[in-house]
Amino acid sequence: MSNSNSDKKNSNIWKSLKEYYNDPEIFKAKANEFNEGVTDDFDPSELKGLSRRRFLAVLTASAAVTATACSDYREKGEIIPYNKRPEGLLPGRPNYYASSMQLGSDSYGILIKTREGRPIKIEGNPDHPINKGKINDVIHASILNLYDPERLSNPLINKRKSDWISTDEEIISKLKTASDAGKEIAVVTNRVISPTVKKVFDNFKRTYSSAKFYSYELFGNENKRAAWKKSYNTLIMPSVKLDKANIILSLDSDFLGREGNTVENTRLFTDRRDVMKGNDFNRLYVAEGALSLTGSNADYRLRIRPDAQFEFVMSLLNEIVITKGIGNSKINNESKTLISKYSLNDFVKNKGLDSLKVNYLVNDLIQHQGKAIVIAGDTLPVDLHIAVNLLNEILSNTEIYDFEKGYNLNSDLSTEEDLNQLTENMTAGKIGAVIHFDTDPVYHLSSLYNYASALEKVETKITLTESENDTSAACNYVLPINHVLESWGDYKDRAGVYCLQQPVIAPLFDTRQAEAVILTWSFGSSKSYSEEMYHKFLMESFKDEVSYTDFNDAWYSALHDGFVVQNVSIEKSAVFNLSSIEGIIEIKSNDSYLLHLQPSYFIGDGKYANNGWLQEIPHPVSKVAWDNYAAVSPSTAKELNVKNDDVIEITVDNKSVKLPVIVQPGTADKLIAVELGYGRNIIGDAGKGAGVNVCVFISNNNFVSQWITGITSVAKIDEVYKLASTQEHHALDDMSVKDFHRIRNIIQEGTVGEYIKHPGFLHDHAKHELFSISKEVKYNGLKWAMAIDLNKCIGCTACITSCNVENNIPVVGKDQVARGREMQWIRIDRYYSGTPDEPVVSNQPMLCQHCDNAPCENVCPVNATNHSPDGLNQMAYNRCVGTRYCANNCPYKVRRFNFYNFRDNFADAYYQNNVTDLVHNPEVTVRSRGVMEKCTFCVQRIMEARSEAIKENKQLKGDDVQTACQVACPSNAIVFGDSSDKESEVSKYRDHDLAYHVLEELNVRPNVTYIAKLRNTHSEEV
Amino acid sequence: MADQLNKNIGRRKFFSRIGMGTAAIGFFSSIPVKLFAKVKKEQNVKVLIHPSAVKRTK
Repeated sequence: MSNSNSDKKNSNIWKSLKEYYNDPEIFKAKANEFNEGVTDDFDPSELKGLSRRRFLAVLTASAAVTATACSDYREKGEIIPYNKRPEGLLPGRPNYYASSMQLGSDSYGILIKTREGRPIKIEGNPDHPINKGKINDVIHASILNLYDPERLSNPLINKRKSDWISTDEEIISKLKTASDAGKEIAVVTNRVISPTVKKVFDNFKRTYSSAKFYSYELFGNENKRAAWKKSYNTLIMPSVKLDKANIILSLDSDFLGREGNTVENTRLFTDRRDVMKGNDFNRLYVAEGALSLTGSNADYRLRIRPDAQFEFVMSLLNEIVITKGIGNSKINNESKTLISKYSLNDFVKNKGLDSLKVNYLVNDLIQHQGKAIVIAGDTLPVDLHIAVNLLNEILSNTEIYDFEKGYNLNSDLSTEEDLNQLTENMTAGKIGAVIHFDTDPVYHLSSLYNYASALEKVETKITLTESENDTSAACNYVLPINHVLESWGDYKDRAGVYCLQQPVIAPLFDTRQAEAVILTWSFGSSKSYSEEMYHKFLMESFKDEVSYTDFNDAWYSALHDGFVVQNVSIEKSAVFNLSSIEGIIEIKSNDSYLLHLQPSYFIGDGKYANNGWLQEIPHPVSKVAWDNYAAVSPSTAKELNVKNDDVIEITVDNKSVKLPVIVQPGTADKLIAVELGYGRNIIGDAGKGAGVNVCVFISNNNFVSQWITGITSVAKIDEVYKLASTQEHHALDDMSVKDFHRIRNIIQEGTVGEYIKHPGFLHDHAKHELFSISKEVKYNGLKWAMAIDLNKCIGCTACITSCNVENNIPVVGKDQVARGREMQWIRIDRYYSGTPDEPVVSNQPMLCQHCDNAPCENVCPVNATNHSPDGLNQMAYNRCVGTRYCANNCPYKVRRFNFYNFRDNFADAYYQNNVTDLVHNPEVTVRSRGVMEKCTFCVQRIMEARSEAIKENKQLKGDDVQTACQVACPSNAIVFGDSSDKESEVSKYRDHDLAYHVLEELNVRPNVTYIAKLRNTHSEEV
Repeated sequence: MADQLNKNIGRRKFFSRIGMGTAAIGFFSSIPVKLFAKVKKEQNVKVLIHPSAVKRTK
């Protein structure tokens, strides 16, 4: 980067608003790496006086307690070898199983690693045609739900323990009575994308003719699906070949973070951000109100509230069709009349947008017709999606629609009328029984349909669930079901791909497969149940779904692979129905406060709220963990007279909720964004007290859509709620240097134009003279190194979760996170530049850099941290005495100290039990109190590959090892390998023009190389 | 001053209490308390590979 450009671009890089405004508090905090006085010296004078007599008394009492305590101990058990080894199991060697898992409306191919029969890690199935070996945080961490000590372990009747046989008999008799009396039996589910589950329900309906099925989702792409049906009326909604799009315009769509199959989207999007493939980058425009992960990766971002998105699309249509005359022949006069009411110039002026950015957008969309795409967010209304469909049609963007990997639209949710009818019938006593099929409508729908009070009127209330929730608490029959890793299943959400799910472990508790429970009731006798029941049913169903010559071959190879690719004839185009645009209802934006309810990045609809790993990942945008909050812009905060952690009361109609505030740069003014899924009443110890339930604000009568509504009133109240944010934790110390990030080039960026003009621009600045106090060490042979391409890293945090699971990282809880004691070995540093209103975001994963001249090693008094011959900075945990000198001396602040035995410390020893212990990776030591830890470059994976190489009598190569973060990264931004091998991929990254090391002037010789981010803007000043 | 002296326990008495205490500790700690102690019953979990699962290479 040239000096002038570098100065201009980085002169104002900041991590938080406090830093932007030079708040003295922030400098104080940075001077004190460990909060709350933990580094203060011990001062005996502060101790209270103790008399000789009291001292001896305390000594005697403690000796008595110790002696008594030591005479008793808990049986730890013994490790004994198998005397009858299970077939196919070799102690110490992992087994792998392919399977699938549903998350929202999508299924993902997964690969499960087991050790001695217990699943210890979920990764993506590399052969799966959609997610291609990648999965998101939720699936990575969902393994913890399998070992949740609070899973239900037996059926409950009226909160009392029961057994399956009597529970089944009782329920069957109640269902028969209801059916015979002609009363409806309501089955409430989430979206069903399994063809076999549909057959199970058909079976149930044949036995109980009064059964009716209802499905709902707390959020999802139902509006997009409805719009597609109106616009095209086909049963396949195409996915988009994002890798073919030169220009992408996202309208409040967080397609990289929360909407659709995010790992597929990320892979395709970042495929066009690969400096190794060239400089043909795509360009991302994001128009959104609340800063999202997608927005933080935008080349150009426009702050537009969701209620103004409709006007924006119509104005774009007017500009493109009427003013520029593009696609005139594709629309009729009625549509033209509708469009001509809008003007882009007026819109830009009224909303105070940067006209230069909007002009770039219009020109780009026109110039790249057929190679661009406009994507609307899931929370936006149906009519806006129809307008977006038309815009894509006019720009011929339909050319990059992918019908072959399209979404099957044969799994509709219940309509608003259906759900209203259900609750009305429940209230009127017309419903004989309600069965909740792994759903929690009391939490989700109580406000929308008054579900909780309606449910009280139903006599037989049944819930099938893994663990207690708000709905199970309101039911008289609660039946524990298998975790996904204990279950059979199939999914058919995408055209041409049939996915199978297989159990890899027998049920840990007395639980049953939910589908088998329904089948048992369908057969009308508890005796009809067998463990193989659903397995056999699925095999029969498989015969209908897949064509084959030999069933056994087809079935076992499908289980082996985890999926079957089918040759189905799919219509590869669709005709736009112009009448759909004529019927749309216009949305007029206004200037009053607006509430935008958004899905959570990590805890789904609340199902995963008891998962500590997911709660503890810092939010990818705000870096807050363990809570939801009201995100407001700096101007709105000023108007409301609030700062971070102040509490506001939001009222919509008659419903009020109190929420803590986060002042989030980049948020549109007068917009309050809040995430759903938090604040469950009935939840386990891990998720207790995490966040506030804002489901009450979802309404079908909302101003823009179910999730976007006008606020009746909002005001600060006299309360403060401390949020735990990691934003300013582990900050690289900049006390001594003003404009630290600029001068020390921690974040280095450029533009694609700059790079094309001068590929070596990054290294134009004057090099520092390098001093060394250590002797040069020569590495002969293999030397491990990593490269992280910041062009591809979107900051999704999948690497953090994968690392947590692989390396037995403990959950520490909100209190400890607030003290800066989170234990994750990778953090995603997020820097802002620009202004608080229009910030430009830079993400940088930061982990142990495995420096050749590691400053942590020199200061360890016991040589617990030292260097391996293959370049690893390694830790001997049982040698560490916890001086924390290494953490103090680490310039990257990547070392983590166990202030407690965190398994014992968190939530009354929540994770210290026989069940949760099973999640641990046996190849990684579980660290205890007083020990320092940090990234090991997954040394256990290196050792496994080495042992494999020795066994096969071959040379270990860099490519033989993949670290957990590398495997998880959906964009393949992380590369790991042998830096001594000049042909290796990691060496190519290290030698790249855009390669740099963070703090390279310290001459600690880090082994993590960063590839500088290029922004695909039109000019260098943006 | 006189009150304080009255409250003082004699040195001999004090050490005799410590001695008795130590003897009591010795006695109680020799009792195998674990045979009588009620420990919260841990969930007994059996880990079994599902018999129908089809494994594969990575």
